Amino acid sequence: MIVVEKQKRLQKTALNKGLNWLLPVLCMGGLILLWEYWIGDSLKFVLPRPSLIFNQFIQQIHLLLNNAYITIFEAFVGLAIGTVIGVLFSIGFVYSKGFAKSVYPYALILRSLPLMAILPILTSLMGPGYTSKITLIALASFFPVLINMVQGLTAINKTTIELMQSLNASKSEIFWKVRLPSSLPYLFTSLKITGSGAIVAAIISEYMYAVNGLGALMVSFMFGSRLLDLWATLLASTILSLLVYILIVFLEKILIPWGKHIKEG
Amino acid sequence: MKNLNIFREKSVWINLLVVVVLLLSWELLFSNQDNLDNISSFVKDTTGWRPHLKALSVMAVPRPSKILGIITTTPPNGRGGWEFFWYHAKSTLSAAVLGFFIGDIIAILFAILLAYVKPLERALMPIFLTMRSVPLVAITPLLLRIRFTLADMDVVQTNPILFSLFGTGQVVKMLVVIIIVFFPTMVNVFEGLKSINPSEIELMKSMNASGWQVFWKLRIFKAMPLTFAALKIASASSVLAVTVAEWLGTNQGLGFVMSQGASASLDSRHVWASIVIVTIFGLVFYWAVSLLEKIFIPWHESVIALKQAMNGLELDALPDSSPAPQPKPLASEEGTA
Repeated sequence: MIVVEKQKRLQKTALNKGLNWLLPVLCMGGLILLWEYWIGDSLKFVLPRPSLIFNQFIQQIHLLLNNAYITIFEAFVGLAIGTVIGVLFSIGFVYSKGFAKSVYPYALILRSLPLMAILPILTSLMGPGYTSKITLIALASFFPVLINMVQGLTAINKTTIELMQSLNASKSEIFWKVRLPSSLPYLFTSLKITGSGAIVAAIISEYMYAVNGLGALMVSFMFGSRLLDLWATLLASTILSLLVYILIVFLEKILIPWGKHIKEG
Repeated sequence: MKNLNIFREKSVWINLLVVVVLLLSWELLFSNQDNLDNISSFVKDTTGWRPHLKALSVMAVPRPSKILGIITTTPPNGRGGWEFFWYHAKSTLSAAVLGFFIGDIIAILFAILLAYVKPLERALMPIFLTMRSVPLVAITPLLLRIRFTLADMDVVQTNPILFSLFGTGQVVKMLVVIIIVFFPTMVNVFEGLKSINPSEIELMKSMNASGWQVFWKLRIFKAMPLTFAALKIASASSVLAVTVAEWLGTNQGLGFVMSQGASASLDSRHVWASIVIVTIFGLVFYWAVSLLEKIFIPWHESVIALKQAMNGLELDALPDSSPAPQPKPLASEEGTA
């Protein structure tokens, strides 16, 4: 009896899982079909048919890729710099209260600034090249990394540390063997935000002072009344940011297989 | 008045001193182009490399008193002063605040709907979760393109209602804010509404509480911490979204002033002044939402943690052998899904 019930329950969960995938896909597919055949060409000047957009995307793929490389380059360099600085600062925060006290107010202000708005300032300081954009992305990804890493470095059982101390572990050993490994899941939590955030920041910073990159492409299509190309670029940037997100989730699974245990407590 | 404690701390005064010293040295250094030329020739003498920095120019970087001057006094050509900046700030403010409220209200209603209707949740929630990590600000050029197209059409030109919607950029700016604010808020409110222990509901049911009462007396309060986390982010991003939309294609607003900095009529003073105003506005907006959070959920740990942070960051005060808390990021971020 029990075995049968268990099997039934398993079947039910399998069906449930299938539905969890199927329902959203059906819903999305239905919307796209409606858009394609019901709205059709009647709103061509604002909503071209999905098939036309996709067609344009394929046709323009070289142009889109060439510009996407620049956006990706800016985003990744900025993200890397911001993450490294964020991690270093978080270690400083955890080990020195004075440092934390003197830096935290500024970090908090940085967090609540509408960061994109300082792009004109950065451009006037560094010129319209890559430097200003990379600086901006680094600034934008700094704070989430800092906050999550501080949480991660401090969220350890007191007993674990006591155990390490009773085994005569030095402070650096506790750091490398306990604090750092258990904080990495928190780092990836923050990377999931800052990763696609960096792509957005790169695109926005290309709106204003750039000739290359997806953002600059969008602006030129906007002023050139090339609606179809604009939609295709939008599709490209959406795909790009989703890919970055997927990449980070994938890296998390591969690099820190212990993350799941820590998150489950 | 406990908040005033932070002013008795030494570190606050040191921080203020640092800011004042920085502003003063900025003012003095950038009062004369010769100072800056001296710096670059000094760098050249010592390192052999001449810095070709745009930053070392009085034209590119106005000093604080000039930035303040352009905000407070009207120059002869009328491009400056309170009225000029108020005219532009008004447009930015109204678009950001209205968009924020409309977007959040729609998001909250949607979240309640989805929390109670299971099939809708299963069909739509994954889509919303995906939409949250899509760069929605990137949609701005598309919306503006659509507005340009619509504004040129005869139907819109002749119909006053349609013209008030699409003839000016105001509605499009609001629309951008609504779209950007909607998804993070909706996901967070939804997760908040769902974060109830079964035992809590059982307790209420055993006391004969109606579904209505469960909603008003339990779910709402459970949803508040996550809601406020989302609202705080939304407040910052709404200002950003309006500014970006104004860069691209409007003729009113602080973002427009910023984008015109290189043109003939405006200069770097206008750019820096509007950045200062946008920044102050962003901070005030953020703090207003944080204040609401403090009023509405004074019991919650995020509020308490903030208080601790302001009163001197007790990071090493680890909880006594309690299990590590879940890595709930400060912001909306990854849900528990």
